[in-house]
Amino acid sequence: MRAKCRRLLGDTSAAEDAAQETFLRLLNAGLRPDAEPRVVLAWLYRTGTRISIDMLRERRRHPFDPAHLADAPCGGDPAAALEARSALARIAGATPDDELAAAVLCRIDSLTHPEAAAVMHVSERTVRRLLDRFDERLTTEHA
Amino acid sequence: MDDHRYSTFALDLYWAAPDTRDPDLEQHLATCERCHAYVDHLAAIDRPIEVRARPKRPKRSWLPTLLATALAIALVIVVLAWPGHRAPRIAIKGEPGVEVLVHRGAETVVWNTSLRVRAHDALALRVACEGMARVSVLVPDATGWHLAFEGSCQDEVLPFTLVVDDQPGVEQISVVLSQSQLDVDAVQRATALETRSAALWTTRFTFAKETP
Repeated sequence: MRAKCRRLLGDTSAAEDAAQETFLRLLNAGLRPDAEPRVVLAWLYRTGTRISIDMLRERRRHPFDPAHLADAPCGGDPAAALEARSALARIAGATPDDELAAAVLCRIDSLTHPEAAAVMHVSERTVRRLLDRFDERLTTEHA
Repeated sequence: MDDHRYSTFALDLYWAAPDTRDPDLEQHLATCERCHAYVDHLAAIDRPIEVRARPKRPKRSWLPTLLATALAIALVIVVLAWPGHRAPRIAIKGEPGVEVLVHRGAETVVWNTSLRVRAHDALALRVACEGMARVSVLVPDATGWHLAFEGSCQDEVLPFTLVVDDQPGVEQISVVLSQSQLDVDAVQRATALETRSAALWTTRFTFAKETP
């Protein structure tokens, strides 16, 4: 979770706070003790993403070390993730949570659309729609 | 060479749940440098004692100490305005701090002075060390402050909880952060004087209880 939160927040201290808050919420989440690891991880990704987005919005400045994105697996693209992260930090304040969450999961965490849909409890079509809106918002910002 | 592209989610799952590992991913890791490096990185940043969500209960029993404390104190339903008392919080950057987490039923909340604790609440302490190396926790009884925990200071929840008993009164906890390990006398003295210096930082909490 620390690594996941750090990809968005960019510094270790903030990421540790976000990860800790995520696990505190897990304590109260009422997940079944025998829940499948995939279900628990999806819950952690969903909650950790929300918390990190909230923290990103609260911070006035967003110092970011690109090295936190350098260790992406083959499904990710560090350069694209860095660009997405930078855009996301710029427009986080005026963008709805679900759009930001889709962008974080698919563009920064490199989740596939089916994985992001499972994490967000929405359909793949909705994930695609949210990403389209996010991209439109960036286009509008540049226009 | 396979054509699979794996995400952080897939690799996190692989790393966190060894019993359910996907054989295709196992095979992929043998040939994919980036995914292999990612999994190695996960292993490298893992710290086994990162169980912040559920502080462990101590093996030693300090319950009699708390019970004695509760018995010794009359029923008080407001937080005492302790002389020199500092607001409990994570302090500003550069100053150590302690935050109390109250675990009640299925909920965990950060304690504030308007929150009364209840019998069976579990209290955990989250510490911001800011350069201090050791942390000591003391609880009082009729004869004075007694050491309940001593250990190295890390910016996380301390590995024990204090369970509130069902006796009327208040609960108190003193936390002493220090740059070096102190003997019990020194920690008790710091608590009594509420010392704060470059090498020693003390804070004290008084918890009002809800009446049954």
